[in-house]
Amino acid sequence: MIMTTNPAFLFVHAMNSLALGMNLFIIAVGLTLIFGVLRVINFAHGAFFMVGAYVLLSFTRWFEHPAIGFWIGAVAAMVTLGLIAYFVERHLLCHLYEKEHLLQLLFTFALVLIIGDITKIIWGPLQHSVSYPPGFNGAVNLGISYYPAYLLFLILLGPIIALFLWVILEYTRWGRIIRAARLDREMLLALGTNVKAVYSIVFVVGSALAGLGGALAVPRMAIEPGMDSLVIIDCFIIVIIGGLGSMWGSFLGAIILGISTIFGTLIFQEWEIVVVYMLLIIVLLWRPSGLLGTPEKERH
Amino acid sequence: MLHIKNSFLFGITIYAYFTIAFPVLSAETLKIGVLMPTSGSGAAYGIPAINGIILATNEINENGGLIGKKVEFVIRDTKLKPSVASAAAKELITKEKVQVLFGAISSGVTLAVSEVAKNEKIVLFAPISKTTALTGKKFHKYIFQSSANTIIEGRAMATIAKQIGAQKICVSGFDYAYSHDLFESLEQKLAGPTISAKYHVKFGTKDFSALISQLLSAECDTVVGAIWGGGFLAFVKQANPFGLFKQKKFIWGAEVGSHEMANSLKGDYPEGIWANSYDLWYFKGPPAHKKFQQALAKLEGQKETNMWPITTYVGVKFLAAGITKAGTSESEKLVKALEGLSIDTPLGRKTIDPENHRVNTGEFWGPMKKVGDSNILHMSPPTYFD
Repeated sequence: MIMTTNPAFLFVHAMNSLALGMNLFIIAVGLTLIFGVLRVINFAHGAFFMVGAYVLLSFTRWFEHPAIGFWIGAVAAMVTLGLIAYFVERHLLCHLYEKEHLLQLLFTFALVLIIGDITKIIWGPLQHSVSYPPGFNGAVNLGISYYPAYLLFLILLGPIIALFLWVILEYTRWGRIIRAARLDREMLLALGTNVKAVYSIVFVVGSALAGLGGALAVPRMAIEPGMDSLVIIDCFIIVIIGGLGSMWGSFLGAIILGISTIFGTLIFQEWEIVVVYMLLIIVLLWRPSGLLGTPEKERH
Repeated sequence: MLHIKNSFLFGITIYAYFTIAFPVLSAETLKIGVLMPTSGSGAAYGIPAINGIILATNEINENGGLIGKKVEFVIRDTKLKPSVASAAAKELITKEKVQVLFGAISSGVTLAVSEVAKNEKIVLFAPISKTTALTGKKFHKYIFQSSANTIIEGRAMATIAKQIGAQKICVSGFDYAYSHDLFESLEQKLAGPTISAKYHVKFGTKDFSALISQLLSAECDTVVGAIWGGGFLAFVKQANPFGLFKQKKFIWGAEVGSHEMANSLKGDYPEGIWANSYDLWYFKGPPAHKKFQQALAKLEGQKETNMWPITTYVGVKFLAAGITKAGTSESEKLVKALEGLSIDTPLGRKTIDPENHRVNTGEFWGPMKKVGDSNILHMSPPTYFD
């Protein structure tokens, strides 16, 4: 407990909480966007994250220059997931919108298993690793403490993505249509909007964010089969705490999960997992639709 | 891009499923139930481990099988989960009518399977799980353990700690049976150095930020770790920017000295840490080891072979020797035959202790160093501790 009174130690932990939160936010925001508009709980979002990581791995092997391989790989992860998502939404998922929710859940769960096996066939069952991109492998002196450059990058990238999405949702025509689709899709159809295209775009963008999140998580973790299973749980916790469908809700949820994971481990050691779930229960009891979520009765 | 080596490994498993797992049934087969993780994060260990089984089985069947019968393995995926593994074990016994169980990976999973073996009175041969609880607190006469157990590993760690001049030691591992048993064994064997702090993290966690900060601030000069697989890989990558490996000495168990781990991490692998491995393809060993490596290289399609196959290869050879000696796979007679049994393995003669059913299996330990121009670190020099 002496350590917790050390300002540098607390600062590093606070920064770690933000870095973890922001990496998870990039992934979870895609899940919440998709749910908000399509009303589909996409279990395969974690599998999309995993594919993003593997795509980056391939690009770092194709390009000899590590920086080119990494950054082009990160963009390629987004593009690949966008293409996969377009195919999945247009040719498979679209047939299930009018069916019961259970079928959608079963479909996305089936996708998890199929993608898991395909990645194992393509990239094998063994673990892989990708180094930090050049320029991001050291630590930066922040005055109070040294802090890893790559984590600082993640801490900055999270809010940039959040602001970018917010501007698009609030100030563009497509943003207004997407917001309208969240609240009343029948009315939008009646007004002659191409709701099909809205659904495709949201699913593609949401899934591309999962791919980017997977690519950016790679320098800090092992690329291995099953790497999607923990991430999808974290993402669900974030969107439930923040409010299903709420972009800023997932931002807040991600920070809360980051703090409870990092400080939970520090203070409660092996009881850390309980802290997160207790938080989830409290939020659900206090605000069943999440901290910034819209109650279901306000939707049409 | 298709990675030929990895795809090849996966292909071997598919082959195993269709040729070894689902054979044409005949009265002249001896069925052994295998419990290994072949999906999720456990596949990185389960699939190479199955290669060892394939290698040993092929050798046995080419030499006429066992007690006049062809040996067949029926493989089930444990998904690295105790509940899945125990359900699969029951299914193997009741539906597939296997006569012996073989596996699993991860101590918690194997302990669950061991309960099934005990209730069903069927021999379970554990080639990989290290917890001494298997053959200690939870011992029953049907369990046999050919892995290097936590007593042997803890003893090696204590010897190395003294050798490298450790004074105060911090220990860290996943919060489950293996790490707890290992550190208990280390503490008992330590002569001189003391354990000043213990940090256990949630099993399977992928974020080690809090642990890294704790280790950076801890007043220990040496860290002894047991976080394994993808967890170790993530820990190293997250700890490197903080310069943790330059600030303290490190002794790390859980087979992180394997060639596959060094190959995954390449230049990110912390140079100078002491690590262990069951086998090393580059070890200049006895002719039996060379012969085993050549056969494995042929099977895996790569000279730089994986570490896990030797564990299951030796396990199957023990089982085969036991069945041959007993003249049957019937549990009670097989138990008697296995107790005290000695066989020659690629790494020397090994014996099953008749009292606790443990095999005197050791592991290679040594500092990980750069060798030549390669950015894949080697254990140099490797020393066998048993």
